[in-house]
Amino acid sequence: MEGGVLSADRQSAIQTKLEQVADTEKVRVALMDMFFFEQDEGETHQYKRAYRSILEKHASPSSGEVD
Amino acid sequence: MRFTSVRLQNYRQYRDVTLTFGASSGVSVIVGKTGSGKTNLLNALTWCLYDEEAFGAAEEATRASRKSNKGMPLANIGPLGEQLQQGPLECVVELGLVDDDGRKAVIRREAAYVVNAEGVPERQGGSQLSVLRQNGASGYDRVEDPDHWISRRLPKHIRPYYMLNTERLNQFFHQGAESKRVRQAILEIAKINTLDRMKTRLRQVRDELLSAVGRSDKGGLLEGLENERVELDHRIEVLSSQIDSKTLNLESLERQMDALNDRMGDVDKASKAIADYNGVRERLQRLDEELEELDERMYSRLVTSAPAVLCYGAVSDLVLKVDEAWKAGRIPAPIHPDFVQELLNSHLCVCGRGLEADTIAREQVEDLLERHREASQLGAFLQAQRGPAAVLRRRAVDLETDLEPIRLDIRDKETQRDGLRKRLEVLEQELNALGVEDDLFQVLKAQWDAAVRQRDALTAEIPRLESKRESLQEDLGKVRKNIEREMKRRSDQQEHYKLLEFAEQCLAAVDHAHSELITETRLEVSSALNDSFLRMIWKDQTYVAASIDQDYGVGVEMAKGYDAAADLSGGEDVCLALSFSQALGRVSDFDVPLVFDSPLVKVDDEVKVLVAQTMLKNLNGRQLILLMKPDEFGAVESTFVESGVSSVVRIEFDEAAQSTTVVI
Repeated sequence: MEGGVLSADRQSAIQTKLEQVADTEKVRVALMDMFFFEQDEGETHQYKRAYRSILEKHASPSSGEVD
Repeated sequence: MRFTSVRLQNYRQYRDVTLTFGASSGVSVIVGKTGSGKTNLLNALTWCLYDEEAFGAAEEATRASRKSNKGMPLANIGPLGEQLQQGPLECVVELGLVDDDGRKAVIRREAAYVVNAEGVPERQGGSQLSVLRQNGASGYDRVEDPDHWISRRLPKHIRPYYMLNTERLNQFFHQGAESKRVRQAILEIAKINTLDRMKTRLRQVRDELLSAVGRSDKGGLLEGLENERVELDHRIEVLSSQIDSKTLNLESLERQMDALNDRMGDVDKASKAIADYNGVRERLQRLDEELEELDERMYSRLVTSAPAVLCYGAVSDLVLKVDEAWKAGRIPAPIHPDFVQELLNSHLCVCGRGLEADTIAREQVEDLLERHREASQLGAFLQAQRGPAAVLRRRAVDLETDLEPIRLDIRDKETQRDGLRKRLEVLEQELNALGVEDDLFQVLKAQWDAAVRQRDALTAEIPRLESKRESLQEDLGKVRKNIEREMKRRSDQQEHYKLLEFAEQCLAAVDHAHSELITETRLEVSSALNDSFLRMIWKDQTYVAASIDQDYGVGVEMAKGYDAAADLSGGEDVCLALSFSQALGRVSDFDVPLVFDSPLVKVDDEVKVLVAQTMLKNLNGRQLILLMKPDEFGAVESTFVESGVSSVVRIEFDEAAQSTTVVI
């Protein structure tokens, strides 16, 4: 990961913060996916596709998420 | 992470030295005089990790050598000159460490030096980096991508926050753009830049979506295409209807023709018979006409020559007989009428008898005379007719000559006519045998011919219509594809809008999280900075607080309310920088050792103790490696001893050997 691997504590802190600020469940899940992508694949150049994919996955009403 | 040892071979003034860092207290002190190699030990660490020498003269040398592209003058060239003459000289720095998971690792960087053609030592190629990492058992595995491995644990960009020397400490807040550097330091050390990256990437995706939405704004296109599709559909429908109708007509026609064919029997045969019959009849008619014409010609010829022929016919025998009689003298010469009268008047008689009036003799003479006269007149007449009779005869002969070919022609044609009449009778019998009643057949034949014409017209028109329909269907296919494309584009556009809205929501959330997190982190760093600085600083009546404001400006508040950050002394600057470094440690998500070179040289001895105490207190389990001058260490030695620090190594430069050695 660019800038080093997050410690479990920092990861948890950022996750918590993201969960706090998410207005909807869909946003929360999407942010979590993006965050985990950053942890796992953050150095890839395919991030635009990955982000787009995450947005498409969760933006749709049929994603099964309940606001 | 903890550094456990560092081995330097042929690195600057180190020929072959291994230093170990104590593990008990987490604090190691390396003490050496000026020139003993402390800063180059720091450089050895940065070279090993990042392939750069970042401190002091070596930093300048690194820059210069990079410019000249000759490689860094790392090797201990002077004392190893003889060895260099014999072959390449290896310069090696090996850093031993224990990773966060407790596994050992060795980072090794090496470079080879040779003497070039001018007799000047220079580096051969670049340096080689390798990392050996302890596997589960007792062995080590070579890490495939050592640079990546290092960047995940000790990224180069945080080096300025964990490896510092006096100069850097002194200049930390005096290099311009401090607030930016402070913010950057907090973001990087606390790894909040993860959210920063998320924001940046979300912005880029959002911008792409915005651009896509902008590009796909083509109003009215779909409506136009839809109209075109409807029009084409309609035209194709009409054409299909026409084709169906004509196909049905054709089928019906073919059925009719089949029926006609059935009725007419073998139409071809019948047609041929009819044609033959008609042909013979026409030929017969023509012959009749020709015969009529010949008759007319003969009649005409006869009309013009008939009187002569008739006359000749009438007189020829007579003339012939008279001519014969004349020649035979049976016709008397004509008696002049006056002589007869005179004879009568004189009563002379041939027989001597008186020819008195009213006598029988006289009557007999007179009768004889009359008959003689008549015969004479007739003979004369006939004689006179001999010339004209010859003419008539010639004419009759000519007529016969003219009429003969006509008669022959007539006879020939009459013969033909007879033949044709017989042929016609035969054909009539044939037609009767075929069951063809001429009138009905003609009606059927006319119907057949009309049907054939209609069928030919239909079989020509249907493919033409089908071709036209096919062409329209191709157009329709294109229009449908365009419609599909446009529908997809619209769908994409809607999707883009939806995604765009969602991306905005996510971006706002990340921005919010980022803002809150960085503010919280800044406040935490600010609080730690205040704690450390106030502990280190001895002017507790002068300075009342140190803080980082919302613009990331570092301020030192004086009791009188002034901000003294820009007016701090050199020692106070070092205290502030060390405090900031310690404060960063509070929020750092990197468990990296702190390595400070001569951090306390600029402060007084009593302050040294305060700083040392504060540093030891705020370590929170992190490793601290201090490179100190003897007097610098002397001022705080007791403090370290009291804190349990036992790992103290002394190094010195051996002038005779021209190398640094470890003093036990």
